[in-house]
Amino acid sequence: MGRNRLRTGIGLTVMAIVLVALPFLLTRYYVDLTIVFFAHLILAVSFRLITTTGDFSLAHVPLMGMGAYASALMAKYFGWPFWLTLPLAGVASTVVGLVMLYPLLRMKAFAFFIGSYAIGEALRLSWIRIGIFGGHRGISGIPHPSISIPGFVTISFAGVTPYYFLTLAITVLCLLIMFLIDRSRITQIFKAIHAEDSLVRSIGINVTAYRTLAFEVGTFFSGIAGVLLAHHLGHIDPHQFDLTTGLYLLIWVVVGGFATFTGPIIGVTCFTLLGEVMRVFGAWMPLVYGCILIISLLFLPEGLESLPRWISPLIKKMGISGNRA
Amino acid sequence: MNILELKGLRKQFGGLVAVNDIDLELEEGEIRGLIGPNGSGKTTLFNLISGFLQPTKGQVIWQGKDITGKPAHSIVKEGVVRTFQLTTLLKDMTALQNVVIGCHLHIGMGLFEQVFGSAKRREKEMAVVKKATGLLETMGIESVKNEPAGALPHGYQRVLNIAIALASEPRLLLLDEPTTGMNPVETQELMDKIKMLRDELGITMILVEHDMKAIMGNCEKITVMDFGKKIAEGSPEEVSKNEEVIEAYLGR
Repeated sequence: MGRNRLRTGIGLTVMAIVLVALPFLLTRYYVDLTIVFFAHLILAVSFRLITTTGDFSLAHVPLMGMGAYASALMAKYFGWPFWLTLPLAGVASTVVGLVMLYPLLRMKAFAFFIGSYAIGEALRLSWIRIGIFGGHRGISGIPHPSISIPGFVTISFAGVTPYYFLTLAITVLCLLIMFLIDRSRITQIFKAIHAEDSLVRSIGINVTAYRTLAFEVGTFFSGIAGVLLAHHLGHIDPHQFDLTTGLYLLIWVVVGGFATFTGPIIGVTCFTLLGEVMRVFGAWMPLVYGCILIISLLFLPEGLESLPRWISPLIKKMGISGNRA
Repeated sequence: MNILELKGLRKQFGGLVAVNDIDLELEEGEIRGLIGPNGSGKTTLFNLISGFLQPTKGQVIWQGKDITGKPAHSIVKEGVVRTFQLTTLLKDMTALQNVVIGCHLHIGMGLFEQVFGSAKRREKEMAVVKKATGLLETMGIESVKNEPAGALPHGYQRVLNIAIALASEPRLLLLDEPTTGMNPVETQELMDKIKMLRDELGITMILVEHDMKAIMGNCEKITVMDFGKKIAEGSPEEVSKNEEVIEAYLGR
């Protein structure tokens, strides 16, 4: 136990040093990429939080878009500061999510999956139709965030390095909160709802309330991810939040594995790295992604996170046979 | 005083009347047997009392209070807890974890504390584990508490389901065929435990059972259903002599 804790401690320290040093070591392009990677981390981990109840939501990406739009509009038209638009955008996503849940809670499993696609798409199309969201062209010129205490100090996050650290801090905070939720009793109940919802009802748990809780917490964080993307890119449009992105999200989490908290993190990390290595394939990338998904479903149905469990007995076996030889 | 009263309870699925105007009165501390051929509406009746289904008509009066049509989770809070005909467990979790989850109503923590609490939370969590262990001991299965529920022998799983139900601190327990798949010795052991629960914890029970011997020997009063209707009620002797009951079971 003590050794494990030491190992975890060393691991976290090394990771912290790497993350702090990163923007000074990498080129601008890769720092940009890392910022997007952070937003995707929040997106994937919050998506997996919802799936623990058995609800696979294709509305997750449009709801991330809702956060992005909300923050962009508040910052651009009202000039509200970032520390205010960030949580408010998360709240905007949860409010829209709550409206979506009204029909969605009456659905389960596959019906929920398809229903969430339809309703997410309805949200996305409303951005095209309703004037204030800027139609197909979306919203440009989203201001860089700055945090100011009036009359005291103003910190601008206009440069890529300051924005990197802002994103890093928010991402760490979001992941920490979701990690605490994951090891709490609440997640056990989410999983129990997935496994045996009639048993859960019979012990006095309001299944609808807990499904709502999971969906709304996940949606809040997807909104936060949207904010981080919007202020980073400076431009958002409805096509960024369409089904393609939703399918990529699904692939990250399915290939990474959704049984534990680390699964989606592994998935996003691997696919971000892979995306860079395979950039030469260009337009063939979706094909590569599809092949990886199929191979992973065939040979690693529990995702990359289950890899150590598969490999360690193999290594042991090889070790033993090696000794015999 | 009657602890539970059903007044003209009815459930209709389209043209099929699954439960047909059932009246039932249950005294506190009673162990009531509920029997009837397959498809006679026993489980549907349980679903109506426990709020898993909404009745088409009629009333469920619990301790003088009308609880008809309330959602299942609030009926559990009132103290009416049911088990299932099919073994319904969290198979990947251990027996102890199953009961710990079952303690949901009595953990004494809000959502915020469950996520962000520290020292005090651990204390409360330990108390819940202690309570769950105690329930496994009461049911005599504490020896398997760290086994995954899905890997337990069938008889243990049935008993574990009752332990989970007890975690909600019921006043009325609806047991749906608790002894299916048990041999006569196990069946009698479980029946003794059920009586013990009544005597020591004062839990009133309705028992759906196919094992005639078990039910005749252990219930003071038996209700018989056929095609959704109550056809007989009384002591085991009365019921077993009843013409209609014999007909329902053996055919004309």
